[in-house]
Amino acid sequence: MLNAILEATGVDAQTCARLLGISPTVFGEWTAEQRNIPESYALLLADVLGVDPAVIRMSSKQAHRAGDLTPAIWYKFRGDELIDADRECVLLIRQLGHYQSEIEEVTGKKAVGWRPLFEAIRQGTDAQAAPSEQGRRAARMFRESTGLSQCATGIGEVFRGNLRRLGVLVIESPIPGSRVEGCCFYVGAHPMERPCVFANLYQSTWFRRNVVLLHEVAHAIFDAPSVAATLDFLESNGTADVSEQRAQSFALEALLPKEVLHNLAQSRGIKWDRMSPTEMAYLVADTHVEQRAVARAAVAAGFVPPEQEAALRSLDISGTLRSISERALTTAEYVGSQAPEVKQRQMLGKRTTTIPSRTIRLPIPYVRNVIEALRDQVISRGRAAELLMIDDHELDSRFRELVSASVDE
Amino acid sequence: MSDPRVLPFDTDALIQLFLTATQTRSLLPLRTLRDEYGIQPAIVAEVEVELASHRKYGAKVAPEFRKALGNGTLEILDIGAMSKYVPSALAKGVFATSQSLGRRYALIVGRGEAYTHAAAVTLDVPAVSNDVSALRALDFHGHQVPSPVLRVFDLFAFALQTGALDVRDCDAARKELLGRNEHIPRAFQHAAFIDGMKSFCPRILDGAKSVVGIEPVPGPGYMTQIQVWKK
Repeated sequence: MLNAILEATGVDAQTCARLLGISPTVFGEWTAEQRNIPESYALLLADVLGVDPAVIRMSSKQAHRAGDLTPAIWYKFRGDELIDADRECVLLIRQLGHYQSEIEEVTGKKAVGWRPLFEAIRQGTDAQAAPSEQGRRAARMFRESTGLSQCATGIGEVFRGNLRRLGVLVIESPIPGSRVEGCCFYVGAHPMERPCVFANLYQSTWFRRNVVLLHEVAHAIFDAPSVAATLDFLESNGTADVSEQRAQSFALEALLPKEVLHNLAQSRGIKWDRMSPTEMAYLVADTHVEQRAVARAAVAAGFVPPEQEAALRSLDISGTLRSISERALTTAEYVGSQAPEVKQRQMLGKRTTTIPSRTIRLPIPYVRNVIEALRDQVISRGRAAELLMIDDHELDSRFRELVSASVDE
Repeated sequence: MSDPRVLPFDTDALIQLFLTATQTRSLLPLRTLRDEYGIQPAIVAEVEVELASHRKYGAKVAPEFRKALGNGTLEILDIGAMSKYVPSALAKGVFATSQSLGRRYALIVGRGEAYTHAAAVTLDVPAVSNDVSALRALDFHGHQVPSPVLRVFDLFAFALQTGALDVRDCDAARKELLGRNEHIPRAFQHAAFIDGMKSFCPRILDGAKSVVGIEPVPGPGYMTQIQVWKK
């Protein structure tokens, strides 16, 4: 049965084995039903692939309709626009979702705040309203419920933390060569599933990713529960679609409400009709939002006429932005620029997985949770390595000071 | 405590034993346990997968592993094997209990060590594992751990005491592990095997032979010293 499910995912058995750090030979024996799948691996595979554990261990003779058991998410990820790397990345993220639930369970930090919040937003949104109005209203509720409405400036530095505290899995990792800019799906076994929003780091800026991530949050609220997964591609318009219009409007309103844009522009003495590149750079730096989104928000707020949007978007701000905002640096440059005591700096080079054949960069709070659990002896060294998707030796070299006492003397 | 009839091994401990198979004359300590003391070395299915999937040593230890399974030095602790250690009518239930415990342990410790310790606790036998962080973490959550939990060097010391290996074999094994940057008990890190034994307390001894190592001191259950007798 495992073989049939894998075929439906578009990830072949050998690749799946290597992604999960399982011997391809052993995995091949599982798919050929020559050997039973041990229980713990059946549970992992079930969560990663999105099926019931009993289905994973079912023989092909017992089940005649593999297609009926294939989770909807994998139908979404079989499209022509996707490459193998996309599917592989989704599989790894689903594994991370499985581990995140487990570490939260063991540390007693289970976060499920997303569930009532998303439900309240859905209930409070008029499905008959125009999509852009639905998005704006939902974003205002989102900002108010998460304390973000208190922010008189950009929320780029704080909204990831807010989402994670709600239990949303936020992943930013590079997928070179992929056209996927962002996607959203649910991870974990029902009824303990959680939303995951993903932004592709590859050739992207932090300012752009803020928009992408909140766009995906809108999909997590409105669309992913019913369609299994949503995908957004680089340079796609997608504005004809109701859900895309709503998500776009949600992201813009969540990041850049009219009053925030107005206040920031006023505090810089910016005249909208004769904005200089330097002023635009400051607006981007202050709002934490990419230039084209600032231009779009300015039009939507009525600060500039629609015909001026293109001019605002074409202002050359790259040099100035790098000099006034460390967020315009690459991730490595940014983290490297932080003081040694800053937690992000301490995690430099310690977040990349090594066991899976394709690497992903784990979220800093997740790595910190695992390491704190290891330090507090809540989990073992072997378990910490498993959760960080690295081997024991790599764990030793990355976190030497914490693992020195793990050998039984 | 009566002599255990089966001894579940964790992945890390097993890898160290395979890495030193040349020095220990093809796993003589394990064969001695099985043939002379009636204690069958065993692994759970999770350890078998971990061993085969081990990036650093999986391929290297594979031939020795296949040989050990083939000649019965090691056995896989499945329902069938379980029925050798409990009344066969109970084997299915005992195996299910062990799996259920393993599931809970696996939230806290690695898969292999979780199901190894769960099997040992369920069967009330010792286990072999070098990772004390797993025992501390299980204890932190109030879970039972096997008693005792043997280290690979306990098996070397046992083999020395029973005459299965001599001091040169044990020291060669120690050097082999040190040369591979494997973790070994502090007593042996900077001392030859015979010198290390002066500050090492073995957790398994032949009750009929002269004691080796130092006297046990009070400590947690996993540090208990047990005595076994030849069949």
